Amino acid sequence: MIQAQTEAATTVVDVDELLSRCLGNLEFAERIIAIFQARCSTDLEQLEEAIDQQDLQRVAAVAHRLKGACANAAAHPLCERISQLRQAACANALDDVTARFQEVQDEWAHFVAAVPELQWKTDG
Amino acid sequence: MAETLIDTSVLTADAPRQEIVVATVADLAAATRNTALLRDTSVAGVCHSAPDSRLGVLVVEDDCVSAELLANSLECFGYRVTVVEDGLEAFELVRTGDYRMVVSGWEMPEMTGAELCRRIRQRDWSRYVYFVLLTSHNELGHIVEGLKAGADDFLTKPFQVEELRARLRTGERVLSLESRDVMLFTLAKMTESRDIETGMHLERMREYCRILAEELSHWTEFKSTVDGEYIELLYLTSPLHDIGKVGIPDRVLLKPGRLTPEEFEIMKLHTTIGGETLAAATSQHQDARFLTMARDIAFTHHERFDGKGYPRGMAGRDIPLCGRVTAVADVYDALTTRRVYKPKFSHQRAREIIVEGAGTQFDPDVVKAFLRREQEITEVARSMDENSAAAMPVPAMKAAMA
Ligand SMILES: [Fe+2]
Ligand SMILES: [Fe+2]
Repeated sequence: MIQAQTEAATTVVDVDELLSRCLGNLEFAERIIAIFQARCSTDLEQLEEAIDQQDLQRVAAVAHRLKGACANAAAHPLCERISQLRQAACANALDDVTARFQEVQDEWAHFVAAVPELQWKTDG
Repeated sequence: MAETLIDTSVLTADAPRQEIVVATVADLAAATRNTALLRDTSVAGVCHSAPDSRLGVLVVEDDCVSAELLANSLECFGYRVTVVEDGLEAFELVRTGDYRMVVSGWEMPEMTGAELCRRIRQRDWSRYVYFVLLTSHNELGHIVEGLKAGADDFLTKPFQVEELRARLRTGERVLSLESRDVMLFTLAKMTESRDIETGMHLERMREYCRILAEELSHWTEFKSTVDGEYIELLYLTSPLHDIGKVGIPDRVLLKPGRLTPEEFEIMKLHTTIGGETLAAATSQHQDARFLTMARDIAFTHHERFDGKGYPRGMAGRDIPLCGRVTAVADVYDALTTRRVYKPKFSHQRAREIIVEGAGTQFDPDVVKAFLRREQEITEVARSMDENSAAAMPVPAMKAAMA
């Protein structure tokens, strides 16, 4: 069985799901997490910039891409927050977008804090 | 006058089919660089490298996390994988013919997944490309649009590895059906093999059919009928229009001079012989749309818009669209090539005859489509002219039959 070591880490990423998508390859899963983190930080910067410019179409487009990344990386809580941000952007609700973006950033901070704890182990 | 010109009764020989287009070396290099940046397939020994005979899969996805995960799984399933980030680049790579399957995201910069699919369906004809679109849950609109664009299957994000594997295996089975398409064309060529003169007629006329249908697919009144699948079916089945000639005796089919009225009546039977043969097959395979279309084309390619054609004297839009399109394509090629009963006409002269026939012999809409895409049609005529040195690469069909 494969599991993550700490509870904090399992709340940000569904480890079993991610590992099955990596065909059980631990090193590859770690690499995916690294790629995912890099992608997220770039996309969050882009989102912030788009929100500053009130370009909600761009917010929706970036959020769509990021949502797909979160879903496949099994980062479900972050995925949920970004999905809400995207909905707000599609609804053209700027205030809501700003509020939702704050929630995304909070969740992201949570993710970043938890990732170092994300050590995979296999037993059996 | 048109009747003798238009009955393309004295036809053909065996000639190779035209293979089309190649992407630039720069495009390929860029794509390879992208892939190399994204992925290192030597990770942890899960994936093994195999020879290049692996089936090529192109992953088109601007979200690098998903792209990476997909590529890793596909390589482990034994496919040769390339990843690109946008639709334009993907389109160039598909044109090389190196990829039999595409797994594409929906929203991407430059070109959406559906648009990429549509363009592939319209332009890539030498081999079928199996197209899987990635969608999110609850985006049913995407599925409808994707199907209209000619997508073969869908995969929801986040994907499940086993589902991905199953979808791609289905794709492999569908690709194996391509041998069916080669058989269809072979059958059509065999029909014409009793004749010596028509050369690349079938190859050219199906290109004309494709161009005409492609034009109509943009018109509001045809949009719901003429989609990517329709265009492809027309391309596949139009070469069967004269298949009923197998039932016409040599003394009539191969007669060098003008046919007597009795002989002409016999010649006309090729429409019903072909149509009925295909209709019998259709009744046993109800859902095979290509058989239905092939039947309609065989029956109706000599019908006239004014109702004075044969075999049934159908008129106007009672004649199936595929028959109306094939009529123009078939006649244009008969006019612009040399036949025993006539010299080769210039494009200008052929164009005049087609335009004169609008509303009498031909559907005026199809003639309008012909005029709008005139330049493309003349380009095909030029590039596939058997007398031109530029024509004819390796005969793919012969290779497939060998
Ligand atoms: Fe015919
Ligand atoms: Fe013909």
